[in-house]
Amino acid sequence: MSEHELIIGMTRSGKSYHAQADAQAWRGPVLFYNPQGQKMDVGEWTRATPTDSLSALVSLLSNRPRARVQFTPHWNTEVARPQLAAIVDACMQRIWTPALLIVVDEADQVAPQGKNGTPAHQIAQRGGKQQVWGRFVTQHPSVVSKMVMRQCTRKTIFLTEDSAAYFKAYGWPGDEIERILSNAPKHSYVVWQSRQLTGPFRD
Amino acid sequence: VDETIAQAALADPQDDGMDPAGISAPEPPRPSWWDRLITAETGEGPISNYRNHPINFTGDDGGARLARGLTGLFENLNLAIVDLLVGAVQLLWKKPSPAGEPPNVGA
Repeated sequence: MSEHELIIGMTRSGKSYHAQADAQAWRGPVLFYNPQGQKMDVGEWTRATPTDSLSALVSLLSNRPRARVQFTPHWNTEVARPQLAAIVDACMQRIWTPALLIVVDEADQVAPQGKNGTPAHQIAQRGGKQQVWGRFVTQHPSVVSKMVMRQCTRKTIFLTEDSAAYFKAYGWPGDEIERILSNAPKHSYVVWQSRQLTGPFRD
Repeated sequence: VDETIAQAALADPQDDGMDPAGISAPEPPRPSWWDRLITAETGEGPISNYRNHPINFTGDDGGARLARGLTGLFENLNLAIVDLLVGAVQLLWKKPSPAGEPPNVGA
């Protein structure tokens, strides 16, 4: 899907698995920003760290359409964010064919609510022109930048804690989302897109 | 030069106006001009201190009270806006009577 997507769900709701499975199915190269260095359950991933060459990383993504790279940054969020920014800056220097997918796990650490000018903003606001698309994964919509949220035309929603009122405030059918997910099997999700709610689905 | 990701990040720091904690500290709400106006304390000292104040153009207690209030609002009466306001009041105060009307008492 050539669009930005917000993936919301509490811990162990299945959102990370979904993000990985979605990434594996992507037709182009994928960079998975994995700040906690969590184990990747789906597919094989080349590991990248801050001590790796930036140009080598971009070359790998450019030259191998099926490249699957997970980047684990510095543990400190304030150090990690510029590292992702450096990668995104480098990736935004060209138009990607096939399109590049960047999955930002723990997106609220990169683009917390109230913060602007983050690499997540750059992907969400300018990525489309360069054929760079984002998947922003977060535990709760209230903690991630609203600007980034607005750019995500597709919202994939797993079970969350106390989010119904928050969803409703954004015009999403919060009660319906909560009702469907609380009655659905574990790791189910719904999709809110073009003001239509579909699901539940499971990977 | 083949930079590492860490080196590239240091070379291009992202200064986006955040505090080191990573969460933007909300600025305290600035009171509106009306709130500032109605909550401003009057100038210091008794009215008698303002009888000979330069902006007390009437020289009476009313003018002194006006001068004290303006001091409370603007603190520093060297502001151009004070001169403009007081000058405007003075001009209106001294507006000539319409033709044919008898002069003010005592004129």
